Amino acid sequence: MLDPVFILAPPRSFTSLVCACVGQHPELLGLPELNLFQADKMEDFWSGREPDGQLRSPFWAVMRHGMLRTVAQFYSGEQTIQSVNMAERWIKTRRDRTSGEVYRELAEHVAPLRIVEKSPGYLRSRVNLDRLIATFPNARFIHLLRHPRGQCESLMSAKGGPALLFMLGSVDRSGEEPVLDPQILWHDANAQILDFLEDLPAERSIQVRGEAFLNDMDATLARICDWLGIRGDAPAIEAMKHPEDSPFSQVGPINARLGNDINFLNAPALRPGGVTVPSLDGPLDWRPDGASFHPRVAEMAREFGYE
Amino acid sequence: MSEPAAPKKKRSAKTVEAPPAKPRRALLAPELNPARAVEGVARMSLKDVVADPALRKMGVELWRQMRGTPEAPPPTSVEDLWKQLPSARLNSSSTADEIDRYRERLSFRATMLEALLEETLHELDLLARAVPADVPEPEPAPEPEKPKSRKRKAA
Amino acid sequence: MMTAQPSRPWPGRGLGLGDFRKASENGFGDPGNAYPHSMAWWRDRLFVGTTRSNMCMLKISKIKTNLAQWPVECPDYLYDLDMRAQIWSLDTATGQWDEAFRSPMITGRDGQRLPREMGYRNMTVFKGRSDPSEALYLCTYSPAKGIGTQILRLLDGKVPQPVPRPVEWGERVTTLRLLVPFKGRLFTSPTGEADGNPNSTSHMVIYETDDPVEGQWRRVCEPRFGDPDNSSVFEMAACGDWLYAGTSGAKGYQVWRTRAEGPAPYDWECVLSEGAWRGRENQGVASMWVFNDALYIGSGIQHGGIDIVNKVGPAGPELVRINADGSWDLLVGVARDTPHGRKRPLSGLMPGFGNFFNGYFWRMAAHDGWLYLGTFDWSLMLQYSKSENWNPAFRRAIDKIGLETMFHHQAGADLWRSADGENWLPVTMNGFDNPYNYGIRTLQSTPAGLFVGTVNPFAPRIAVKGLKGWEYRDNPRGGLEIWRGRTDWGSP
Repeated sequence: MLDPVFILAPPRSFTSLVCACVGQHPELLGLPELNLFQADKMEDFWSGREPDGQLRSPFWAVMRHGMLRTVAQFYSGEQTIQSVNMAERWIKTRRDRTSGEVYRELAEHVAPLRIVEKSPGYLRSRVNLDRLIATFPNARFIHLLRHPRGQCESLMSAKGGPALLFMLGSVDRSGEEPVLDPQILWHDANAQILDFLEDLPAERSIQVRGEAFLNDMDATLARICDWLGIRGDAPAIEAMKHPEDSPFSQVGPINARLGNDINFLNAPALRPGGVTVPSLDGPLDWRPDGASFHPRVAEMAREFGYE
Repeated sequence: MSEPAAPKKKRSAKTVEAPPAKPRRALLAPELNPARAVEGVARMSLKDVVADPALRKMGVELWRQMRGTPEAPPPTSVEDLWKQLPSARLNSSSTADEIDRYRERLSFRATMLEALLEETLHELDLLARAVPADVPEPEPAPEPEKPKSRKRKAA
Repeated sequence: MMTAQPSRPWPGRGLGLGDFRKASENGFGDPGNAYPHSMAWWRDRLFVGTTRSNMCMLKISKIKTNLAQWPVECPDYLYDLDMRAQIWSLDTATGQWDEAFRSPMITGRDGQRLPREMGYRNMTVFKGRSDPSEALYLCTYSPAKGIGTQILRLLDGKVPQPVPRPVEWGERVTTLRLLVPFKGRLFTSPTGEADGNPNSTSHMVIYETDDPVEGQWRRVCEPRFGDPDNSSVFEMAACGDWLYAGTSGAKGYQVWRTRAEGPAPYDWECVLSEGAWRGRENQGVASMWVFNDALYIGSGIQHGGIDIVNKVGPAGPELVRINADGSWDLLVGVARDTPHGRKRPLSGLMPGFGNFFNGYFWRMAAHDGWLYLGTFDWSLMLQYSKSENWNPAFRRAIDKIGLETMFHHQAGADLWRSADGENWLPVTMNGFDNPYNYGIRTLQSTPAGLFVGTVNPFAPRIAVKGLKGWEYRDNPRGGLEIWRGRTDWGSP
């Protein structure tokens, strides 16, 4: 069994698309957001409560959808109301196990295919990432990047995006009035990823700019294949360009609809045409004071190769 | 396929129990938003939001915006915050027949559970009046203890 | 450009409810055909053996029931009904059913004209030493005053011919449930006797022959496996190098196995006892099937899941698995400590797939990489039952739910499926939307799909409670049904 490939990125960084594309490689298997490492015990994963009884997230019931869909697909080959009920039983019979043990069981079940997954929730705490690496010491990581202006604008315009930013505390409170400022989240999430990856040997992670992925897909996919040591021939690359072929790339049954961004699930196929890469200079649309990027945000973005 | 060499620092399950590693890069959030939890990419503290009128106002506006109900009165409880709008439409891969059958099954289960709950409460009532055979009845006889009231919803 | 099609690590599509179509209803147009008691695929056709009017047979039997109202209109004398068992065959290409055979009439021991057989309780494809080709062997359910059970062989002609049965059976053994090929031999064991119970026998012993045409049946195990508690061998199956036999008994079933080598009687070893250590609630082995090199064992409590005489049940059936290495797993059932350690149901499902009204796991079959399991659900009988004999709490709960609601939402057998034996999901939980289909007795995998035979003895006229009390009315949904499941209905 090969340890999985995880995609780490702030929200709205093309993670759904990249995970589904890479996961379509014939030696890989892209999964929905499992969120497993947000809990230590499966009992806590199922209840959505921390050991102290606190609800992990108001959306926790929805955050189990990816796991339910995965188990339903793995053990019944279908995602239906009935198979999701079956998946609930599968999870509940493992309530005494750790999330790591269960994740390994899934990884062994699909071996020799190698899992590709992204759960943005893993970034909520370093504990989650430590749990991950303790389970999969040889995991690999794609640090997926997006220009801060594109990522921030996307979050601000997404349905529920501003509310998410608020909940995650991406608020500039330094002035008189609070300002919702997505660059805080962009910066801190990336900082946390960099911190985490620095502890690993360099070959275990790769940085991929989302814009490059979309604008020069063949070359970027080939680079990822090369890094993972998997075949990068034309049929493999072509398969990766069809994220819509994954059984997880559509809405699920009524009792486990999501497991991924709903916009991606509603339209998973690649769309023709590339994306433009914005500039780091100039005022930010979401700032009423006309401010531009915080110097540390700009500095980090330049480190990532953005201008 | 062979894997590259193991990581420099070998991690064990023990690592998970250790306190999270201190971030080496200074984060922006603590600097710009002291109300926010500082560790990692975490949640805003609800307590701090409630305590800060400006943040609270912003939160309510965003909440209304997210729900598409600009006139809605501010939420008064955490439950209110996450209550789904009755008008929310949930698309899915389930067919009309699958959904109908599921609905029927759940509705029947609710009927069964309600009957079982009623029967269970009836048994509890009996127990509340039980005089144990091995314990002499105290004088004067205590008031029978009633089972705790339970909230029940009609099926 | 061609894409590289990845191999995906999940099972191929199983049969869901939408993949099934009704292949026959109302007992092939004769609602007296109540049980599709046997089914086989032979010479590119599906064969189904029926048993007739079981609810009227039950009325005159010695089996104790708790019925206030007999569910089906029955004559005073059973044989006023046409009780001759039938064999039907299906050409799957055209969908055409033909009646292949009907039991002849005989003169019974009391001089009455009787059908030779009222049912075909099993059929199997086997080639014995004297058979020129694979033949269809059948075993019968004969009237108590008839000539006893027969083993029949259908070869080239259209009339199945009796072959010799063990001499000591005489006329007393009335019914057989088992005909099991293993290592070139055919194995059987008596299931029921005249004047007794269709499910227990004084001849509890297993027989084999490699040449049924010549007879030469010989005993291959000690009577009752040396345990007087065993009342019959209720199920057998060949799995790898082993022949397994499951018993029924008051302390719970036992499972024995042998390699059937060397001189008879063979060495048998007991693999499970005391109902896999659940006890009497796993009264008998109702079904066995081999799937992915493991043996699956479904339990049941005789007489519809409630054995009044022995005071067992209701208690839902369990499913266990004996693995190739001899270890065993509890798949569906109650967690417990056993001599082999703590066993928890790996499926997360309680007995009866969590359905209190399932009385047996009655039949299993593997088809296209999936294991299917059909149940018997007794909830339909609630409306005819003496509610004054029910547990008061149960009665109050049913009163609250309402018999009408039970009938519409609970009644009807369940069919479940699993791709690994551990994770199960339902195909139907209400007898394919017919509450009178209260059991699934036969499952047959064929190249033309999976065939499912539902037990439905609620015909032709059933008791219906109206304003003036009970009356018998025609039941348009009575009589056995055959369902056919396939994922490729679009192709020929």
